[in-house]
Amino acid sequence: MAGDRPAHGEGPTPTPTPTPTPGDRFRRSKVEAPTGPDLARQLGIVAIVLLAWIGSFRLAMNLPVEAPESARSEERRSRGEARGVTEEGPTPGAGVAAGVTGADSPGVGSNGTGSTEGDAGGVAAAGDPLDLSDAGEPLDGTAPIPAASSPVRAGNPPASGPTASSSADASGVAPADPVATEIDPVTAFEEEAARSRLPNLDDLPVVGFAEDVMPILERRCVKCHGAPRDDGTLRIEEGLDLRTWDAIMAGSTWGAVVVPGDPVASYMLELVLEGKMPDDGPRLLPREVRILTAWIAQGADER
Amino acid sequence: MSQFLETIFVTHPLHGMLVHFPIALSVVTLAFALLALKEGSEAFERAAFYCLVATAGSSVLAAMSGYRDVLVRFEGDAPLVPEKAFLGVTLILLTGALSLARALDEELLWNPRTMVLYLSGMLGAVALTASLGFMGGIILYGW
Repeated sequence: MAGDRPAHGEGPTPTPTPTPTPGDRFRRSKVEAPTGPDLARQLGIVAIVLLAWIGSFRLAMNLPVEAPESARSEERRSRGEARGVTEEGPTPGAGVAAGVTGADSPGVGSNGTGSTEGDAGGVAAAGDPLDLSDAGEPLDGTAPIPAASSPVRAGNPPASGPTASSSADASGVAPADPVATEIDPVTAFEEEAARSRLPNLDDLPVVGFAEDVMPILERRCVKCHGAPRDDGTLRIEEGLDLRTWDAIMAGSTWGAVVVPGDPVASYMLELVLEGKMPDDGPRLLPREVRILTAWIAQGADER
Repeated sequence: MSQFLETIFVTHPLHGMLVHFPIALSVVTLAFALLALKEGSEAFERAAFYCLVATAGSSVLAAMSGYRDVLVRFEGDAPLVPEKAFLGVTLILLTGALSLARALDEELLWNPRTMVLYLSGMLGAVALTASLGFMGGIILYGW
């Protein structure tokens, strides 16, 4: 009431109290910061836990502990000799052997995805196995292994597995074979590198074009090779239309992309295995690669 | 309906749908905790705790769906599986332990003797989810 208020000059004016908000009952009047010793103790615990975790990670992943530089160079040299891989790229002769073995565990390949076996195995980590242009000097400075010593033999391609070229892996040089000397080493290398990335040809499902292959192509490839654009025209990248069997067999601007019965020579499969296709989108799953491989290996029929 | 269910559980990778939850929740957890300290707000602190529990729960779901994707979609041949498994298990253990500790001690964030540990754990969870998400990106889109 007005009569309760002090009259002018009767005493000090009381300070107005702020109006409380609903959030104030959850508010702390003071947040205490950690003192120096508290901070040091907690940071110490964090550091110890972090170090222990990193150690566990290295152990679990089988990562090598830090080795002296000399030991690391020795290891690189021996690995390069065994696989025929140079720092810049593979050595044509011995690289074939390493490319076939798939000796490395499946994992991240040179492109980081490693979703196909070949990405992780063999020469993939050192560069494009089919690109010989970047092949350089071996790590130890010795000359490349001569093509004549390549373990590849005509008509006897090593299967994907460690046994196929274990002897070549062990010594780096296979016994001289008159047949091997007649093979163009570059062609042999390319074919073997491509074959090493293929799924196991002995374990392929029986597939049909319409029910198995076309759904994959429609889902993963037709977007760029046969889908209509907004203006009504068709998007046919590189002249390759993948909407029908006839169009697939007609090939691209650059020629045939499927060689019936020969997955290794089929350019379409090569691009898929290298991860270059699909150009826009996730890589094909192993199951999808197996279906495409099976279809081509079984003759690439229209049925 | 059956097509809808098949799309959800077979065609679409379930893991890819679920991983966004722990990633987002871990970031929000840390943000709420920092806000709580700045404002002295117990409401923000409580929100951070709830987000932390949700991070732990959604991490378990993401891990289960990831394991299923490895087996079904990649037929056991997915890249980066050991690394992702290790980081995923670490994330579950870390967020689970932090949630438990906070449930037992409401003063965890306010106590100067535990504040840094609690915040470091949250920061670690953010780092783990970011790393896991980055690896997932490598699997899908390459390196």
